[in-house]
Amino acid sequence: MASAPLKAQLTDLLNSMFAMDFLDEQFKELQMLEEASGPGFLAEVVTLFCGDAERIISQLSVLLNEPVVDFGKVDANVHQLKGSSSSVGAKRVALVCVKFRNVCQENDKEGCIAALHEIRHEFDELHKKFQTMVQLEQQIQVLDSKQMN
Amino acid sequence: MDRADVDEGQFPAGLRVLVVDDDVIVLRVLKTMLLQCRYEVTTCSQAATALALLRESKDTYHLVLSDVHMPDMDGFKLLELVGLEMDLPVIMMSADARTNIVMKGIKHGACDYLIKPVRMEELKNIWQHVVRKKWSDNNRDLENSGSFEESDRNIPNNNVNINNNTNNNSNKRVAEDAEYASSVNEDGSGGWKSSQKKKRCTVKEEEEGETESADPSSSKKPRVVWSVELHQQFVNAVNQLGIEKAVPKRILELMNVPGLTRENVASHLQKFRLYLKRLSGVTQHHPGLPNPFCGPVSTNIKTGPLGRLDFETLVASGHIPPQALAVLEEELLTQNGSKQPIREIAFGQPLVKCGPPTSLTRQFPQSNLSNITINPSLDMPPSFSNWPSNNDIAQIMHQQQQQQQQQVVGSVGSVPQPNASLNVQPSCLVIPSSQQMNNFQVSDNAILASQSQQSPSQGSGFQTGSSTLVQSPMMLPSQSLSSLQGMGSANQNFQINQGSSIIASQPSISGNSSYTTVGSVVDYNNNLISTPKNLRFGVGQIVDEGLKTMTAASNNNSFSMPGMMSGMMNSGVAVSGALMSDNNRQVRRNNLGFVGKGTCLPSRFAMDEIESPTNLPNFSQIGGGDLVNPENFGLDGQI
Repeated sequence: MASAPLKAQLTDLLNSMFAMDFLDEQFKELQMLEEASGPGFLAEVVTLFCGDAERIISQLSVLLNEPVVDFGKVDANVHQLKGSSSSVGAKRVALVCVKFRNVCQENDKEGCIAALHEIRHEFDELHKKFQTMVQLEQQIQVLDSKQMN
Repeated sequence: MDRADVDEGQFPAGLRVLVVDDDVIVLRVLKTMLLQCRYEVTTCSQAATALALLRESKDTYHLVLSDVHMPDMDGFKLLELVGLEMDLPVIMMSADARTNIVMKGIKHGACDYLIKPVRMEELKNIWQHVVRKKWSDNNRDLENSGSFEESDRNIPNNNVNINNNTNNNSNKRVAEDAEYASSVNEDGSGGWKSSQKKKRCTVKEEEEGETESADPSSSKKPRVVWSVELHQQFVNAVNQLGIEKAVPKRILELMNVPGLTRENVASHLQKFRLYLKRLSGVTQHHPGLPNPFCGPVSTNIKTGPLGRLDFETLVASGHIPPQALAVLEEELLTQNGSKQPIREIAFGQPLVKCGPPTSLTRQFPQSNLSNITINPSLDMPPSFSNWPSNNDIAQIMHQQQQQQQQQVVGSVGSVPQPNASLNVQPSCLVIPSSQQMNNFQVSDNAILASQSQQSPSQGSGFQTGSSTLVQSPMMLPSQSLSSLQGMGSANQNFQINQGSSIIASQPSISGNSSYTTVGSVVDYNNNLISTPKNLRFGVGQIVDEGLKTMTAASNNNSFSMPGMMSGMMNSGVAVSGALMSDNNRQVRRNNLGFVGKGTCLPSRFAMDEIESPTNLPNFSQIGGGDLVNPENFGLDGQI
């Protein structure tokens, strides 16, 4: 099967992501959902998440650059990011969000900025992996459907 | 369980769930999971839209799943409203697992509280809440009632003839049976549907015995469903008695609904009080409660036979055209013996008060006037949520008056302001839903919020007994609710929201196609939503992103507008799946919704991601059959 090597690659990627806590159980749930509801679900969710996270992180950056930081908004954004990341199983990102919220609640601007950097870093890494994952999936699908035809 | 449920054998498949969350990712994931559970899912990213959906057809959903933190409305508030208005089980969700927050959820009446990320297993169990609630309600009614007999079934009360269910017009048992049967047949998941349908029946109808107990004449009484009409009667009674004096027994007597028990009333009253309390921040025992709540009309405006007319609501709902209002006022004044001329009833302009100051005016510095300034601007302090019964409105008005004396309302045309000294200053126009319509409790405040009388379309659901307010303004004085029903056509414009939708009164609104939402005109026809993007706190953005991503990913939604709404509108989201063949309609419908807590949030109404359940072949049949009926949408834009 032409897609076999790609599938192997995808499997490895996912395994490593799990091992490194980029992903957690929730992602496995999503995988199961994909099996049940058909391909594309994961890709869609992941893409949604990436877009959303990117936006929130930018927003946070803006908020934290203000002379007077509105911690309420910062908190709300972080909360949101936490919600979405935990919904897709992005464990590390979610964990940093928790940290972020803590410093935010203390109105600790420095702490927030540091946390934001960390989130940025985690998210970027995750994002790359997700992108790879989606690409692999797509390629696999293409190959598989060709094969079937 | 319903007979149908049992027969179906598919239970709990077909459970209709409405999911509300500002996070598109969560919505997407939950939707998929719920579909996996074989439930029917509708998603919404805005609380306002969710409320609109729910109000539109109360039968449509069995259960609501809502996030706690949402930009347009606090999840707890939504929870309360749903519990109060629709009495559906609500499950809260949040990434926030703090005990105190969870506790808050429970206190607000949540059936359950799930911590995100929500897992499949948890979702698989949510049907239990629906069943449990239904059963316990039945049991409660059972214990409480005992006098409700079938014979009363066909009593032609206001609510009896009202059709707030799609096809569920009749109170007659035969008809109902037929409907029931047909509904069962029509709907694949008949179990849910019929149970739902029953749920929405009026008390009388429910007496039919088509309840879980399946024994019509048994002492097991179906739970009382507080239909719009029934609630209106309730509110009227409360207003008549005065919120402080409203005791269940007396309310019951006033309502004069056969089969209704004191306990039913008591529990509803309790909820209602909580609701008011939260709305206005005024406790039940607030001494300053304005007269409107008190039965006897203040000297100021003797509404006389008119009884309780909540003009404001009426107007707000657009049920009363400005001209009618003027006439009405005149009538009122005449009737009341008040010789004061009707001042120009301009929206937002002070009116000369007729008669001695009422308690209302006492409270408000502005002396005589019934400054009914309805501020379309939505900064109504207490969330002028959609459910402004007279009491609410009065309360809110009071507060508002105190706060904003002369806010001029952006008005929708001329809003005749009754000369009551009631200064209504809701920041948003409240479009009374059928509920409101019935709540014309005017006592001394006839505040009319002019509404954009939109959509002539009549939602069938909207038809409450008192829906026709406008039609015969002249009649108002002499009638009580029933005359108010004249609103009829006007009324139906707002049908979509059975609750009241808060509509920013905008001049443009009068009876035309554009439905003005808070602060912005939403012209459904054009799918224009002028809400600035930034108004949406996060949500819109998310939606945007989501939409974009989705588009990129797999959807072909045409997002013609920058705002999310447009995107949403154009996407084939059918709120209830199959029903909405017309996206426009849907959008409109959704947009009509209720301005949530912020009320003033401009056009939050826009249809956010409302996705239809993927497989709802029979959605239309469900009590929500209204959905298919364009008229039900109220703002059809085709006014």
